[in-house]
This record gives sequence, structure tokens and C-alpha cells, in this order.
Amino acid sequence: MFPVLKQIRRVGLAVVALGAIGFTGTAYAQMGTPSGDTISNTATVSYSVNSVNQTPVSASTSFLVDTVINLNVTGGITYNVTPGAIAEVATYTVTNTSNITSNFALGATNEAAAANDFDMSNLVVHVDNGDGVYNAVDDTATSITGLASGISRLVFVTGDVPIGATNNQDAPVRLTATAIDPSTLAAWVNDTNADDPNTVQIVVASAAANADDTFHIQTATLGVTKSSSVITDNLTPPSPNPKAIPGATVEYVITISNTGSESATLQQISDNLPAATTFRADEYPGATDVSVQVDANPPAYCTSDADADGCVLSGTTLTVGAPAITTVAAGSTVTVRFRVTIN
Amino acid sequence: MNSRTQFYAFVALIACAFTSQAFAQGQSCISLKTTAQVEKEVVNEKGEKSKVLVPAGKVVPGTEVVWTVTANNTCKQASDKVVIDNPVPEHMTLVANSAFGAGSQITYSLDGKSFAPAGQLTVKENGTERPARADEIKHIRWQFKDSLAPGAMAIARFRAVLN
Repeated sequence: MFPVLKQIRRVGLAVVALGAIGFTGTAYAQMGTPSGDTISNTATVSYSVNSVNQTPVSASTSFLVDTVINLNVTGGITYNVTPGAIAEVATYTVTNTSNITSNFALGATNEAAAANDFDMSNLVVHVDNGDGVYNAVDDTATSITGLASGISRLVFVTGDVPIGATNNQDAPVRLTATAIDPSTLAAWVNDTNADDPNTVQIVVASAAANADDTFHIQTATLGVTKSSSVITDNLTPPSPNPKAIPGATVEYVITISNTGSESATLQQISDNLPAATTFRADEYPGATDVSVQVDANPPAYCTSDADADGCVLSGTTLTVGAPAITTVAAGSTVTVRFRVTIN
Repeated sequence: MNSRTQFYAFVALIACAFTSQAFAQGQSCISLKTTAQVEKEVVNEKGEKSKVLVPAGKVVPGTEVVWTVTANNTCKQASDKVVIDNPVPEHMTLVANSAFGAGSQITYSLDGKSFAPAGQLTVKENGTERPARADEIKHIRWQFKDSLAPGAMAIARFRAVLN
């Protein structure tokens, strides 16, 4: 009739009636004495009458352990993401700290807090199938069912990063779990009736819990400038401090600076020559036409004809791409120079 | 619990009833009862707070239960050498220093065999002796010094927290 005597577990408890339940760091397989268990006390008295020992007498009383509903959600992880990325994954842990098996309804929302710089779009909840790894094909459940007492389950939330988010912006995403009674498929209802030692009543210590993970933008931030200076007025002799007169050589300098946190892969830089100018060839060492310099390193040069060096002048559009220029590292500046004649 | 051979025509029956108020049956001189209660805070009309004991109904892990044992002398003769023995209920942890019983000496046991006062309970661990913790106590015993007069009641009480 009595349950098998097990070692009494030390569960760190505050000694209050129906107070909050604390527990030590290790998750026990059973979170407290199971709901429905019988707790019995048996007292025995021995005594004598007129110095003659009598037969001892025993008495017992018992009550049923009631159901306590409680849960825990943990998050607190930051994920570095890129603007425009699709289906980024945040992981949370939901633990059933009740003393009975429970279901849990789940919801993922953008947390409108002071730390919210942008919203993730298309938030979807995926309950882990048990292998601990997010897989869109396997992890299709959107709520937790039949989670035993003391057991945890991983929950993945996927979301898309808006293309307009900028470097170092944050989007906190909150996972909220609500304990659901498997027998009613609705939230557990606190029993407000008088205490009854002979029935298992429901005590809802905590109906819901939540935790936040943060998506943190780590991307390149490119700034482009364009300037020009007169190199020479091509007069004989050339004037000191040459002016921008017809026939003068003007050098255009285009800088691309990356003040962000990630390297930027450039596809191409294109520049339309202004009207009333003509591209000048052979202005750089080795009869080259365009100078490409990364930070203060020695420049590389390319020509404006249609070859494989990455630079080409097509009509009045100069295009510079791979392999002349490929990436701008974080904290780096790429400078492109070319020259024209003022018509 | 030791069984003793009786030379008197007492037919003592040992009852293990599982109701909230259980009585021992048969022609014994002690009527034994044990109850489970919890402490509830009540506020009166003046806003003054006080604590009352109510039957233990909604007990969940973490709840502190007050166990009370009462022994009533139902005979015309006094009962002496009254000793109440109470194992700490399964799934519960004794609250240290909570055992109480007016006119009794209280001792505890870690194994159900040897008993000692609270301050003298020790456990051998890693070759050294240390004081026993409340959660290691398995039995409580109240030895009442005076005899129990006819119609008188002896009370023993302790608190334990549900694991």
C-alpha cells in the first residue's frame, strides 16, 4: 500500500505553505512528489498500566499529494544575423516543473522593449523532435504535448531578418509557454474550492512563463564618396595650381569605406563619366587606366578595355569589379582613381 | 515496533485506518489519533494577521505540514511510560527543531534503531563525524516523563515539508 521507500531527495525548498518552488541546478527526473501520491503518517504509542506493559497502539492518517503546475522557459542567447537572411533560428528550453505531465501552448513574438530596434518577420515555432537539432522537416510541432514532470524540451523559433536592418541593431524575440491540461486541452484551472485531503486538487503556481533570445545585426556598412582634383591644365608650361579649364586633366577619386562589422563583397562599382569629359587612358604605371587601392597598400592597376582584369569602359560608363576589386573588409577603405580630360 | 507477550486478558487490536481522523480500536487504554494540518494566515476585521491550523487539503511539493499525535487515556487507571514513536512520513523532510511535546523528552533516530537527542545525532562521512541534518532524521520519539492520568491527553507535534 505504501510506495517503495526511496531515498528522500533534497529539493531546495523555501519552508512556506504553497510558496514558490525553488530547485537546485540539476533537473531531477521527477519534479517533487508526484501528483496523486498518498502521504501517510503512522504513530505508535507504547505504555504500561500498573507497571504492566500493554500492547502498543497505532494510528494513521493520510492525504493525497495535489497537482502543482509550474514551468520554466530559458533563452538569453544572442544570434548574429545579416539583413535579408531567411529562417534564422533561435533556441529556447521549456521545462515542466510541475509534479504531473503537462502540455504547453507556445507563442513567439517580437518583444517591444527598449532594446527592440527592428522586428523579425515570419516568426514560426518549431518544437524539437528530441534530437536537439533544428530541422525544418522533422521539427514540425508547434506546441508541446505530454511533457513529463521535471523534463525539458527544446523549442526553435525561426524568423526572417528585414533587409533594411543596420549594423548592431537588436531584435529581441520572446517565446511564451502556457501550461495546458492534457485532459481538457485548455489551461489548467486553479481549484479554489475548500481543501480536500481525499481528492487530487490543482494548484496553479505559475500558468505561463517566457524568455527572450536576441537577433543581433552584424553586417557591413558602406559609405561612398567621390571627389575630384585637377592634376594639370596641360598648358606649356603647366600652371602651378592648375584650374579646371578645357584640356585639363582631372582625377576622380571614389572611396568605398566599410564602417560595419562584416566584410562586404562588392559586385561592381560603376561610374558614369560626366558630360563634357573624356576618359584618359595610360595615366597610371604600366600604361594602365584605373588605380584600385586597398587602405594604404600599393595600388593595383587595370585597363579600361574589355579584358579579364575586371575594369571596363563601356561608352561613358566605367565599371570596376572582380578581380580588380572583390571585398571591402570591416574597417577598410577601397579607393578607385581614374582620369578624364575636360572637353 | 516490538510485540510483547501479554499475561492479561487484554485483546489489543492495532488499527491502520486511512481516514483523516483515525482511532485505534479494541480494549486498550490509549486512544491514539494523528492529524495533518497546514498553517494559514488569516486577517481579522481590524487588519491584524494571525495564523491558524486548518486540515491539510491542497498539499503540493514544498508545502509544510503540521503533524499532530494525541494520546487519550480512556481507562480508569493511569498509564505510565507513555512513549509515542513516529517515523517521518515518506516523501517528507523533517523541519529542524519543529518537534514539540509538553512534558516529554524528544529523541531522534537516523536508522530506526538507536535514538539520541537532537544535538547528539551524528553521521560518519568521509572518515569524520558531523552533525546529522534534519533531512536525515527518520524517526521521532516522545518519552513522556509523568504518567497519563485517566481522561488526560498527551500531545506530540512536528512539522515536515513535502518533497
